[in-house]
Amino acid sequence: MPLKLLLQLSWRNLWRHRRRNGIMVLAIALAVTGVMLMNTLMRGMAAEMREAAIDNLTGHIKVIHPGYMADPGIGRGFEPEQGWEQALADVPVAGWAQRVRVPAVIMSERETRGVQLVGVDPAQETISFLGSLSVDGEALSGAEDRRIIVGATLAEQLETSVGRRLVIMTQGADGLNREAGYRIAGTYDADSNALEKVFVFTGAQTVARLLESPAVTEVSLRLESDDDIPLALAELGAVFEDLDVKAWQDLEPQVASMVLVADFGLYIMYFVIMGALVFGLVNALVTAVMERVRELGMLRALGMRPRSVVAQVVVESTLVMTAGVVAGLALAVVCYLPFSGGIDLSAFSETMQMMGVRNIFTPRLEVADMVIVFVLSLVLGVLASLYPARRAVKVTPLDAMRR
Amino acid sequence: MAAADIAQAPPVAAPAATGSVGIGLHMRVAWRNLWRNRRRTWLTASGIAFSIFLCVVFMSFQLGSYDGMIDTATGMMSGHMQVQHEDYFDDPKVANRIVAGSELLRELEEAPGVVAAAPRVEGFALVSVGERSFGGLVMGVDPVREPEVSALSKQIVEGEYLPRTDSAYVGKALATNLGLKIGDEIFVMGSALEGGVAAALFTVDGLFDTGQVELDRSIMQVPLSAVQSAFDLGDSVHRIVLMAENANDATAIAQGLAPTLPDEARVLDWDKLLPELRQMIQMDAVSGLIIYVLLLAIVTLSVANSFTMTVFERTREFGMLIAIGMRPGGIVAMIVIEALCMWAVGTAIGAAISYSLMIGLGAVGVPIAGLEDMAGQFMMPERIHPEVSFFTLGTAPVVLLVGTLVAGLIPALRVRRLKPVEALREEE
Amino acid sequence: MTQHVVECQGVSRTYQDDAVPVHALRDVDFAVDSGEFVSLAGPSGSGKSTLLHVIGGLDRPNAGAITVDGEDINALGDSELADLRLNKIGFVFQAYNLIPVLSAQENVEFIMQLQGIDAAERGDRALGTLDSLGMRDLADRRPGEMSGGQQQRVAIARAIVTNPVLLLADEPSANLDTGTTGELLELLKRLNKERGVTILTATHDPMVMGYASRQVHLRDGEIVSE
Ligand SMILES: Nc1ncnc2c1ncn2[C@@H]1O[C@H](COP(=O)(O)OP(=O)(O)OP(=O)(O)O)[C@@H](O)[C@H]1O
Ligand SMILES: [Mg+2]
Repeated sequence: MPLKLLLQLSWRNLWRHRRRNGIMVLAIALAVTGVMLMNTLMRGMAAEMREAAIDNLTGHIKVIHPGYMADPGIGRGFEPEQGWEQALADVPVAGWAQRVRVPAVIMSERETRGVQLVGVDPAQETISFLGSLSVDGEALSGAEDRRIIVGATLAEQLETSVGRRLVIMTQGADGLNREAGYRIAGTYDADSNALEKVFVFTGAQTVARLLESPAVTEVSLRLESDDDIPLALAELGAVFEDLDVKAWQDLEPQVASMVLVADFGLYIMYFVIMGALVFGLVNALVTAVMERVRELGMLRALGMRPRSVVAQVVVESTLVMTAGVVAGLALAVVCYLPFSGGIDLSAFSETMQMMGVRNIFTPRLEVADMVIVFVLSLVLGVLASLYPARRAVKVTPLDAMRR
Repeated sequence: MAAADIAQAPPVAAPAATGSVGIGLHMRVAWRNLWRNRRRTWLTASGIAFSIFLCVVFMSFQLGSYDGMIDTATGMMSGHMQVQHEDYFDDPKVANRIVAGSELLRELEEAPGVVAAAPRVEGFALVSVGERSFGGLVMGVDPVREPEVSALSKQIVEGEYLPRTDSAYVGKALATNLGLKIGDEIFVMGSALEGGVAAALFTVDGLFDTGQVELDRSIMQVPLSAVQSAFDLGDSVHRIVLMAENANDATAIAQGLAPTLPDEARVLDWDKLLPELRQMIQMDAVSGLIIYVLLLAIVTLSVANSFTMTVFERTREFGMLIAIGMRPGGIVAMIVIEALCMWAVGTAIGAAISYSLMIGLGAVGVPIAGLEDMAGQFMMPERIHPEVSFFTLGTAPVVLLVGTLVAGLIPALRVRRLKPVEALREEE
Repeated sequence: MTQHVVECQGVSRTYQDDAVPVHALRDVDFAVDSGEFVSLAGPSGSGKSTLLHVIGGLDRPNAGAITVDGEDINALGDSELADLRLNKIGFVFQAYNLIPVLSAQENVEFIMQLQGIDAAERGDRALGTLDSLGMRDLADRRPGEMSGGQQQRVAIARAIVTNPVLLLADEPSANLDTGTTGELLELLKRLNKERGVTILTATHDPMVMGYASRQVHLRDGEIVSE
């Protein structure tokens, strides 16, 4: 049967039962819209967690001493060879930073807190949240800067402010305590209060002087894309032979598993919801076949091949599916657009912060996911038509006469 | 046939007729009509069963995991409720304390609904061993009462839990970093109440491992009185941690306690102590709700579709019924009863499978394999016991009952607009 | 009051079909007396079914008055019309007369259940009526398990079991062979004669016309001869 005739026949048959097929299209559209919108939320959430994790001094890849995780301190530092970055010549890198990060105790006249002291070269920190911080007061001027910047929340807890001094105490490589006073250059406002309470920044040279060690505790690397991680891992692994070279997925396993959950979530939701839908779809298709027993029998009597009968049912099913999915995707886009700039989620702020997500939450509607949903639906449309098509093939001209 | 037969047929004066029929007949006709198209009925009923199954299973697990999460999260440190100085929650300073600690503790232990109470004082301090030192939170606790309100004492991996007045209970990670072993002495130094130096010497008698390295590195427990005297706190406490029989009662009990407390104290339930827990549950509940609504809406639509087809096919039959004197309302009722029967079949299947599964799993619980990492981070228990309640088992069937009624009623109402003459003319 | 069971005065029924009005009935004056067996004849499209429908209250005329057993149909609402059909009129159609999911006996009982008659009496009367039509042995069969003629007998049993004043039959023999048609007509005739049921039937079938006590011919919606 020519395709054009096939499409025409199927279209007319669908149109003949507008109400019934309209309900099916509505149900499919509803399901697709729901799945897509849930997916945009999950994708947005996962993306923000991932961004936040990479931003929060992790980067895509980090080089650390194998013992650093269990016993963070300058004792687990290392000195990268001059020119190590040559190894990255072939890798599209967004930037890298060397840092000294050690646990420390910070004291004001009134209060004492435990923090992470991070010595940085501000010029390198475009790759982390530090690069885009809003600082009240002054930012660090360079690796030589002898002042510190602290989180606004921490400053409040320590009852101190910009321009005043704080005493920082930490362990040197020899295990002995070092102590020095630093002036506060500025206080910073991060997306999460937890960050503000933990990180205290100063120039890398300043920390080196305090600890009497030129070593760094980490080299953090930011790439242009996640796809380059394996290449970068291999190149860096060759340079830093005795050290751990780890991707963010290993450093932040919880975040990595959330991203994975979002990937699977799309399929799970799709099959759960479409599963419920298939019953209705098969129902409508079988009915359409049974109503046409006379017509189909007559067509068979006239010499239509069984294959063409199957084709007709499959085409009808696929048409209904396509109409529903296209409507659903369109509706999802329409619902998504007003929120594409972000949703204010301050009501849920504590959870968001705990999960490393900002207050303004940006859902993400990804074209790739829309394509997946579309393709899956076409496959499902064909699968749903198999049983009805088999029923249709079983119709003989004789059946039609008897009715 | 003898002619007499007809003549003898009983002459009856028709009683005042109403055109409505008893429910029994409706049931019988509806039930049989339902099975006229077996395939359709089975497909639709399977759709109902499928979504009831999914909703019941998801809901039971979801609510079950919340209870587990709440128990695990509150059991870790915070307890079900805490009485604190009114400013302590926002500004945990040594000075923000409840002065008459032991008196309030006694009162609270007697208070209605309170099952256990334990006092705590806390201060940030430098923990040193020889030349090495580390900053952390030193927590003074009552060695007898504390185990009743928190799980930390059970996470012991070596030694004993605070056997003496100068014992320290230290995280394994901190011990490793400081090179500590059982029996070693540690020196604790912080700022006392009036700005002086708080200092005390302890012996490490026990090590704990919670699985969260950061936590293990940043807190240690010592006996209450030692911290009170080191920080010049006298009888003051910072928190009195309370447990109720059930976490869900906390809010009500806290409300009851509030008026009985001294002026500077206030009571916080776990909702307020762990706001992220409640929000996480709410967010999860909302996303679950979306899925349930979608599932049930889609099944309702497929039932509606099924009845649209049924009504369409039986147009002529309905015309005949009207011609012989049945009222459209009676036909509508018949279709709605058919829809109810459809619901009953689907629900019976979906409920039979999901209820037996959930009641079985509810008793033994389901381990969350491979999620131990997540369990620590997101306060998940290691085993989920699906919640078996009227709510989790009953919601989906009841919602679908309403959905099915509407789904049957809407196409059925078309019968009221049915023109008998046109219906009879309709081709079969 | 007249003795007429049915009385039509100036009845017209016009269908508006694509702007072209179709006059299915034009100004029909027509009456059926109690105990008559009237057959409506006429070519296809002449308005026979339409006349039966308006008399049975299934359709409403555009103009004219109709009374059935003294009741003015125009004055009745939809539910009163339903009651009129239930209690005073029996319907037999060409085909598809029965409720497919009910047995012969249940089909006959169905209409009495609509009337609110109690179970014992229903059973007796249904079986009695089926018996008198020679259908007792098939009382438990469903329509799908009976021949066309047998189904029509059940339909007639259902139509007369309520003792209606008027039996309307629209081409009752159209789906039957000559032999079966003969039996059916015998039956109608005896019902007419012996129980005094007033019958109005529309038909193309000359055989049916022969059995009737009076013939009325319709053409283009008008009565052309009696
Ligand atoms: N719903 C309708 N819309 C438009 N025209 C109609 C409608 N119903 C009937 N008609 C027209 O009214 C006229 C009378 O129809 P009717 O069914 O009464 O004829 P009939 O005598 O019963 O014919 P037959 O012997 O074929 O059954 C016909 O011309 C028919 O086309
Ligand atoms: Mg006709």
